[in-house]
Amino acid sequence: MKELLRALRPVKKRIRRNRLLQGAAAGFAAGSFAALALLAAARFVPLEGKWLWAGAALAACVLLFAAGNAVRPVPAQEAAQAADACGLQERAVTALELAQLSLQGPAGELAKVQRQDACEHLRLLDIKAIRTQFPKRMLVSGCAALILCAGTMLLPGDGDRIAAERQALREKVAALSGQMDKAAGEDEERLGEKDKAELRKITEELKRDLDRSKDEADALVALDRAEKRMEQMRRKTAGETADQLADALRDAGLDRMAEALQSGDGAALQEALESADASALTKAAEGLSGEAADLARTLANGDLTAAELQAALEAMQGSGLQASQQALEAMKAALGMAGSQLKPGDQAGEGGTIGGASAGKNGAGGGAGKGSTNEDQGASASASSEGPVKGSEAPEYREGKYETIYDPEKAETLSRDVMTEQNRQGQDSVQIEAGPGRGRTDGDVPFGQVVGEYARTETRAAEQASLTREQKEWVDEYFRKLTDEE
Amino acid sequence: MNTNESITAFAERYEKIRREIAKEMIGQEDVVEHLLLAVIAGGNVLLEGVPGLGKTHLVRVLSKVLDLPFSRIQFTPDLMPADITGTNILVRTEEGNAFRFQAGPLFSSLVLADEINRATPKTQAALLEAMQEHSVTVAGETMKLPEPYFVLATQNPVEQEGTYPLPEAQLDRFLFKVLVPFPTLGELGDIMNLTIGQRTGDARKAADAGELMEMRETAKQVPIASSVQESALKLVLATHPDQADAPETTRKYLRFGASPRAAQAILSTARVRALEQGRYNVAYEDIRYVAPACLRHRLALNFAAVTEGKAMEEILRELVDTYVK
Repeated sequence: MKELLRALRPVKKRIRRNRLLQGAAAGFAAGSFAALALLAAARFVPLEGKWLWAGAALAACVLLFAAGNAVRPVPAQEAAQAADACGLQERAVTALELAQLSLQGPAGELAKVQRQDACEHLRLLDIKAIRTQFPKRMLVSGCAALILCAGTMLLPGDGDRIAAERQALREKVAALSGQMDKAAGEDEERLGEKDKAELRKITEELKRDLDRSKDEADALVALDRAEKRMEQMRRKTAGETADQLADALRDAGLDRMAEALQSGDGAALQEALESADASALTKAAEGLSGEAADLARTLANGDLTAAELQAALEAMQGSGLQASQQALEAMKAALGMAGSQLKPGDQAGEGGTIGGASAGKNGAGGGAGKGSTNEDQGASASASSEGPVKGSEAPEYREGKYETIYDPEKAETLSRDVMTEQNRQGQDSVQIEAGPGRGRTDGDVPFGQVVGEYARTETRAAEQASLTREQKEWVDEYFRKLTDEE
Repeated sequence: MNTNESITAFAERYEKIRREIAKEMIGQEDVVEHLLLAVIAGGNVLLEGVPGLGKTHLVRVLSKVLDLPFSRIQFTPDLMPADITGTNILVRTEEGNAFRFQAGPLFSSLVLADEINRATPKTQAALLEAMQEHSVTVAGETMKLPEPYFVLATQNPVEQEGTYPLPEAQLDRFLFKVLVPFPTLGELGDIMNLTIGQRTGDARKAADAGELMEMRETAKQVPIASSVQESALKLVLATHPDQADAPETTRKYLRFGASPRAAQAILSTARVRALEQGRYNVAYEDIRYVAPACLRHRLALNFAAVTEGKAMEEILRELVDTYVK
């Protein structure tokens, strides 16, 4: 039996090789269809690097199927049958069967002779005669699936567009992040260790959030968050600087100057400076470092006008993180411009439609936001078809910062609802009409993103409403100012 | 003699026998091959062919080569059973008159039953016992026939008038039915040279009865793989139209199928062929070779086959190709 099994080893090896190829062919077919399914889904669901994923699916299927098929043990019976099919005329199969019986006498002798004959023929067998049987249908269907995969290039869908936008966003953000890093580096030179770590943490988190952003809205939210933290840090740093210098001034007996410094009053500081002892000021500056020392030296130099003093105070307020904040503003501007590309008066696009007239009290936000806009300007309380305030002089418009402008309950919907919102200031209720929009409940939507849509919808409403030419011009003027400032 | 020597001797003797027969038989290799397979396997053969093809001569040459006594029986409608089995005759002895059994032509190792379909069923039945049991019963007394015992019967496919077709039961006792084809032009020329020219055949003895029996015993030991045996059995089952999984051809063209004797015939003769081919095991090729001869006289075509002109050979080829890979 051992002799026979040894003689069958090359056959088994050949069969395993054939199985590997057959498995690879089956994996090719399966992988092609998997890739096709992935690419078809990517038309509707954004998937970045879809071709890489499709390629990976194809490669993984080929490898898995090939390995899975080859790893399976080859039974001796199968090897014997494969060898017999190559002209051994059932020698191997018969020998295998006889080896499993305990034959005695002449039958046993004949079995032995037969086994030797089979082993001899197995040794002489040309292994290459055991051909690989490729599943032709699978290969053909796999090729057809690959052709269809290539065909998906001709039919881009929403998913492709969104994935491309995300990729573009990522590239833009990467470029802007480089500028951010440079600006943060400049600021770090002027900061203490603790503040450096804080600034580094803010920039790292900003980078992480930007990396995870799916669109401009997410990126702007991340920038807004970083900006707030940076502002908090700046205030804290400026306050600490002012306190440090004020303490030093008090220690030097310059209490009036210390109070003026802490209050931020340039004129009072000017007066205190004129009556202060320069040597005491210099002495106070000696124990200080950083921005406090800079300011103390500036004060000690003297010959500063009130305006200059005021400027110095303001510079102290904002100098620590100036470069980083400017970089943030630049990033916001760059992303905000990409997000709100449509100008006022443009009829295309989707967004919330607020009423038929210009914004009423708390009406501009679709009713569920925390924002306030153009309060107390005498605008009409009713957002229905009635016109706004009629008069001969233009109302005084005041800008507001919108924290949330879309109704979160209307996230991603296509319906238009009429809702009634109670006026928070106790006046009559306002009826507003809210339309489809990208509602959010997890944070603020930056003003730069929504102003374009807001302008567009309000201008459209103004066109449709019964307004005089003058009133319409007021509306146009208002939104032009808003968007120009962006 | 051990197994290895037996097998080696088998191949040598077989080749020698064939060579000797070829000295006096021109062509007909296939017929000779089947005849030898049947003789070694211990079975009887039904030869069918037109007169003058050398069927009698073949048996005569075979008897010479195998050194076996040979007898020829020309069957006629008036042939009685006693004419072939023998009979008790009254003889005068010193003690007085006594019956003595006079052996008939059946008492020979090689019996040629010429035109067996011309004999009456009663005479055919007498032959049947001899073929199957290798014995003859006369007046209540059973006498054994010599071993090896081999009946070669012939049939004329034409001139069926006044004949008694062999019943299925008797046909079933023939191991093979071999069709003797008409010789080719070249073979005819050789035959002429041999029979009416100056050239003479000179077949010599190649084996004797004892050696023949040894060859038979050796062949019985040849192993068959279960898959090969199963294919032969499936083939036999496929000839039965009443089987649930019978193929379309069988259902459409056959009236009835082969008995288990067909399976025995296929496997026993396949063993001989395997050894003759130099193998120590039976292969599918052996089954494919012997199956048609084993089956063609055991199956019956139905009316549909006759009207459509479907030949038995065609049906057999389809079945063998389907069930014996």
